[in-house]
Amino acid sequence: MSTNTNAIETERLSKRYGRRTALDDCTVAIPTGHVVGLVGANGAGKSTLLQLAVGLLEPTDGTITVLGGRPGAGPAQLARVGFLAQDAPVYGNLTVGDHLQLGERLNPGWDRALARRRIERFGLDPRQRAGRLSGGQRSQLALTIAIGKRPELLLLDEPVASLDPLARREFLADLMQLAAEHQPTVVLSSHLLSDVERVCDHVVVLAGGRVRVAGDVDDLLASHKVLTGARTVSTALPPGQTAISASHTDRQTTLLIRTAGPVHDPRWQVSDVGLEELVLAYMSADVPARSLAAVGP
Amino acid sequence: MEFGVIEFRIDTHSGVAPYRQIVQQVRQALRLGLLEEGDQLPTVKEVVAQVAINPNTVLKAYRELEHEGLAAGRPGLGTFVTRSLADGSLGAHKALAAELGRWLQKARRAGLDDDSIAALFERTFRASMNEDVA
Amino acid sequence: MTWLAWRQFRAQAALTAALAVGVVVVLVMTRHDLSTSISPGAPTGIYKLLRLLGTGLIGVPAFVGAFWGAPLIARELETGTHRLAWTQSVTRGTWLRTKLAVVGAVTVVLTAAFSLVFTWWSIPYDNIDGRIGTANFGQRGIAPIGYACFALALGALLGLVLRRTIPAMVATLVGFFVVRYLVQTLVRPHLLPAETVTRSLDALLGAPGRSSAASGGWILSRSTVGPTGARVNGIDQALARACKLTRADGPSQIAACARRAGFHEIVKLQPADHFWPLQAVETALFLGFAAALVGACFWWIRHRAA
Repeated sequence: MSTNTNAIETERLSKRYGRRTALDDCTVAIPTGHVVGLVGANGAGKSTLLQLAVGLLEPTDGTITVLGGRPGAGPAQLARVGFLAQDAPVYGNLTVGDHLQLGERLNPGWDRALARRRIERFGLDPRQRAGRLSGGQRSQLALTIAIGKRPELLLLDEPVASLDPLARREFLADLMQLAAEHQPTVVLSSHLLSDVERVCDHVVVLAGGRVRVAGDVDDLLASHKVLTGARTVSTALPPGQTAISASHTDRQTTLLIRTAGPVHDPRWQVSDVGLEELVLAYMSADVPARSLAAVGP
Repeated sequence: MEFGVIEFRIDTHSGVAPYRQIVQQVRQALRLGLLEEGDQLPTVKEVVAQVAINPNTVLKAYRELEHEGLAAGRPGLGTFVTRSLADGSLGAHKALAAELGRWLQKARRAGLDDDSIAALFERTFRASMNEDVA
Repeated sequence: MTWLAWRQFRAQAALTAALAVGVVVVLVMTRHDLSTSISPGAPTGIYKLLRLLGTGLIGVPAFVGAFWGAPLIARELETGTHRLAWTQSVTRGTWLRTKLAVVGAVTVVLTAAFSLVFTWWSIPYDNIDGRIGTANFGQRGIAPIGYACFALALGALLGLVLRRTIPAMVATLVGFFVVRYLVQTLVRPHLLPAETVTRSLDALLGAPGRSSAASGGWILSRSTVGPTGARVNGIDQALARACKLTRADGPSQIAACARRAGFHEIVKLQPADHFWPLQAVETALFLGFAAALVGACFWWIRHRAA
């Protein structure tokens, strides 16, 4: 399932549009063999990172390597990466069948049987114009094209943002089945944390164009704790522990910390942290991104 | 062969890691006798298609069950239940349930409403878990 | 990729081809009648209409640029489908090359067919009016092919840069006509060395006479010179002084006076037999423009577009 190359590796990657900075000095390594959640607020740079990875955008500074190659460098590199753009664009005046033809003619590794099966499963009529499909059907069609080329890496830009809850659930269930069957590395961006928690086993948190934290979900959950104590307790932490966020009431202090080992200080009540809480803490954390980016097991 | 001996539910707002939820639900089913020795657990593909979760999560849950000696994977066939929890726990279950019932009556007599009882239980439960960990 | 490019374009191509075939059929059917019934002077009836239709040929390249060139990339950028197309196993260079090749081939075939048939249809008129002059030149021969290729490339580039279909269409129309006009007025006269001809004032003064060397040519400038070789501005007064003409004298007398007194006209022109060489050079010029614009498209799509 996994090889030694990273799916995506960036080194001081920056992307600016005119004076607006979308990605700022990002260094991150996303391993293969996972379903990776790229989370962050709107405008955090998720879409920019994905488009850089598929070669739709060029970096302003720094480098990005995808499956060991330069994004979009040639047909071979393009064939290895599947991409589902935000809002799942399709050609409105071409039929569903035309789109399958498109996939087949533009991709040497096209899996016709897989594509046909998916179209049938979702009840899509090959003669129907893509412009008449519902949002969920359009997403399934676009995903079918992205998957039909049998990529090693599948990049999905906000795939469920525009879907109703039922279509969203179906989409994710189908995606997970695909991950179980064909085992591509999947990177999906989303601002819906509950979805990410469900389907992702690795997360990258972006905020303000920077990588705040990245790692395996289990490692992250194991290495973070919530400490609750009286307001009077000093928030100075021993070495090996870093506060990510702190909140206070008149009586109580709550800290979310990253820690290498167990917390022994008896003045704190220690509890586990959920992924959502952890991600939110990093998204709003006002700490230098660089010191947080690397979290090991 | 009939699929779906057991159906999992994943609640992403519970704060419990999804793989833990699966492990707990299998244990619960074993305790209640819904699963018996020799039953096949749903395949990874079936689970992810049903509840839309990461396949690695299901694998991890099944590994945990194997580690606990409750299930065993047979290559190419699937994962099967190897031990039941029903018999052993049922008797203790009864006694404990009776004890808890008596405790609940006491709590109500002391003037606690349902929410307070739940909060008290939760707090005590967590405190005892923390003691175990420390 | 050719399949996709054609699949996206075939409906428009078919519609336009049907229109073009209709026009060509009408031209072919009326040609015989035209060549036998034509008389010097203004065309009449249906021929007037047909000639107007042919004049519409001036708009064909503009149509190609605005309706085929501008949306070629702009529509994809507008609807986001470029993100679908550019992430298949085909580089965007190949994608652009194929799209331009397919639409370009149809453009060349259609424009060539339409233009050459109209050139042939117009021969009876052109024998009288000449075809190298400014209005007719751009509607005959092979030049419209160059114009259409240029318009297509201009539309594609503007669509790629502006990223919106409607503004790209408008900009293409404006840009195309500005360039066409500037080339026609400032460049074309100098594409081939002009000839200078000295001739009698017969034509100028409206006297009947032998057709001069300038007949059918494209006159770029003309000036009247006196016996000394100096430029004459008020020719009527100058002649009146030279020959003591009276009000009763007609054009023939005046012309005879001009000949006697040594007045003549110096004409700079592109002669009629420069038509095809001039067509070739102008076509090459516009194909050159088109090539440069296509090059800019490739540069832009690799470095700037996303």
